[in-house]
Amino acid sequence: MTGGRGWRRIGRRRGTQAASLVLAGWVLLAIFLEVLAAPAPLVARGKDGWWLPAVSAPERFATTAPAVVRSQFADQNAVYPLWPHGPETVTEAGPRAGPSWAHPLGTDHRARDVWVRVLYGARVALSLASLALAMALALGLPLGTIAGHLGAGWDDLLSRPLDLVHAVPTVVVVALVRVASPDDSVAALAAAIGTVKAAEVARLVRAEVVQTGEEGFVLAARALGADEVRLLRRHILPRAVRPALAAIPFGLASIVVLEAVTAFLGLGLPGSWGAMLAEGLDPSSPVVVPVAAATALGSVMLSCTAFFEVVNDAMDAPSSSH
Amino acid sequence: MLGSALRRLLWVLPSAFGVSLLTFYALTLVPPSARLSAQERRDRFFDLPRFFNARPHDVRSRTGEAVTQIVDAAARGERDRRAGAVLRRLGGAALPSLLPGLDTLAPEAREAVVRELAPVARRMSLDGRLPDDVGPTSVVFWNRLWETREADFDPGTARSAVRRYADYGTAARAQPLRELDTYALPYLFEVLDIPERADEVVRAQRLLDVVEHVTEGDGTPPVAARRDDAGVEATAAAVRAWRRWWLVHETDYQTLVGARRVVASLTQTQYGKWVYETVALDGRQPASQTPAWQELARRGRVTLTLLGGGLLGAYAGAFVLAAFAVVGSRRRRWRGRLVTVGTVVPYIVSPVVLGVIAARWLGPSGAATWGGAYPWATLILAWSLLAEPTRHLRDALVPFLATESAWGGLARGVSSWRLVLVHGARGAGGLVAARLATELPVAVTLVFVLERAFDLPGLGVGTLTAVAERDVGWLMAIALGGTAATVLLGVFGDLTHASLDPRLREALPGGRRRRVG
Repeated sequence: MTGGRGWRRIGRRRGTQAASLVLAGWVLLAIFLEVLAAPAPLVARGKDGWWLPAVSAPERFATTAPAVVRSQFADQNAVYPLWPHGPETVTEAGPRAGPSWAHPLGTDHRARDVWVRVLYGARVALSLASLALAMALALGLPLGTIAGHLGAGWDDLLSRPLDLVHAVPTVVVVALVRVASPDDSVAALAAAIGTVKAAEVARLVRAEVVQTGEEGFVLAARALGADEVRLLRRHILPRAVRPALAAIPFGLASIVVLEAVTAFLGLGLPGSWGAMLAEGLDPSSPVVVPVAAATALGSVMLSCTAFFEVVNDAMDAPSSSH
Repeated sequence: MLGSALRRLLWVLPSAFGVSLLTFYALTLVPPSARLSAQERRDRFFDLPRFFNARPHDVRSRTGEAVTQIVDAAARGERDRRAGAVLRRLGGAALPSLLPGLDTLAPEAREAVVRELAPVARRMSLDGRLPDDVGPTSVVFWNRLWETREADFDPGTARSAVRRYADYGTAARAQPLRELDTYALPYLFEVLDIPERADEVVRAQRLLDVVEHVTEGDGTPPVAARRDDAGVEATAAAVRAWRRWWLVHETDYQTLVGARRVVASLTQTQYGKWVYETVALDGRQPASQTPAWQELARRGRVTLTLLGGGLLGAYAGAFVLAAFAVVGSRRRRWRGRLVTVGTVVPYIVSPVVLGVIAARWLGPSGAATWGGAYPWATLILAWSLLAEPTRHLRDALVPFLATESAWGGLARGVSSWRLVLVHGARGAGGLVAARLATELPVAVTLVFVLERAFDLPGLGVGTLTAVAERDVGWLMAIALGGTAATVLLGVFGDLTHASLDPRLREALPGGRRRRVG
């Protein structure tokens, strides 16, 4: 299947369209979150001119009561987001309030807006997943290519450590990183998850490189005098990286779940969907908190999996080993 | 096939070593708290390099440093009390490297050094012979002592004196050890075993008496159990604490030369000390103060029960579901769809959510009992792990049903179910078994989640506690155990696959090949 025709075929599938819409929705939400919900005004005109309090200094207002924020910006022309509170803001509705326009999913036992918490959870999950995935691809693609193409000693040298990384449960790797870096560092967590996922990517790419390297057209190109770099660039890599690229949506989903799992275990980032799920274990917490987080998580998983299956089928690539 | 399996098994060792190195490196990346005192840093081995010690300290180097400081202070007309305390602590072990060169020092320096040695002489019960004044006569005393006692400061002599005392302890046999002072410590710790029976307590107490005397209770362990009425437990605790003290301070009383110096460059490191402490000293878990291995075994039972039950359930269920989806699939396509939905649901919903729902439903009273939490946790785990083996089994069974042998079976009246479960499962089962190892890391993560959801006392909850307490030993054991289990399961899966599939058996290195022609 040629690349362009394949992608057009993928684009025409209904499953892809629906999955893309949901995924794109979450990604846009995560990027432009402050337009919807923030503890401070989106735009305000102070003495020094216009500024963006929600973007430039959200931590200053993270736990400030909405009434206090309004009084602080009373003399400024402030434009507030749709829901003027952050995930940690104690709202005026009080604890365990029912759904309303101001709080579409009500409030939790600490009077925080559940809907806003879900929205901010998306940013935590998707930013970590994107970072870890980028790291996994950046590490895994070259390592898998080198191991598969150079073979023999290089293969052993690279494959054994990759097997080693792959053998350790990710949750243990995250636990080790948490001990080594006790602060809530997104980069450290992404590096840990990215390293483990890089091993998966490298194994996938290595297998494809080895298989493609034995194909007739590669042997013919070599016989015609193509050098190794050209062989890799023109003939092997375009085919070998395809399964890894097709597995990106799946990888994204698996990292989002992993992030939720680590947060559920208390090893992840604050504000994550996993942390909301863990609150579900506390009988005093309203049921809507874990249900909302579970629904959000499920929608990301469903859209990513549907996208992956469609892309995988359409590209006729072998399934990943997740 | 056996050769291939053995080669794979041998990989466990370098794999475990690699994981332990990486893990240790990660765990020691954070610098120790600045609030720790010098002694606390030393007790936790932060004074040592991580993996390689190019210049391990020994009694000679420490004595040399102390003497230099004392001599420098004497030249300034001062007294370096800190260096004096070091020399006093080093005691008899320092004498073989100090006394032979005493005469090479300047007279004032010599006198300054022997002044600091006076408490050592008292500890060695030589104070009756030690001159009262600190001057040339004291120097003469130490020179004479060395002339007459040099032969006693010999490893063989010291070792046999210690053994005689340990076996037939009398006051007369204790005196030579007291005169050897700290020089006897390495040999005392050679025979200082943790008592397990009441009759071993007296021997251990006897040895501890000498150890405490020559070290003046330096950093006396907090659980020191003394005197004859102490029980086995209390004495064992004291011996364990003193052995921990020896692990920290052993090189203060030993000379490192030749091969021992080479070995010390690896053992006198944070990593080397940690390995020794874990393996030989039965390291304790900070939270419960029980031996880490004991705690691991206790919690491991819970985790392995869940893991085994979940994997078994998942693979058994996968066979049934795959067969259900495949048999008669041409006419009943809904079966395949039903199986797909059934296996994908836990994946989409996530086991975390399922665990939370079940735990919340069971409530705190029913969560931690066998009747409540365990079956639910096992069921959720099995359901969550169902998707992968089911998919692979279906992928393997569909082509099997299209083979001529399958058609032949059907024509002879063999039922589709029998054909799939008995004949098809053989080849497909091997394929799935080979994937068992790749499932393990995911399964372990899920078990940790379910333990947290149901509050089960397994390795997962223990690991979370270890993270909170920075318990290096526990985390290392979990990482090593996980790696070893994955490698072993990989070998098991491959062997199962090979035993079920003759083509693979022949293809493996060392496999028997059928002769053709």
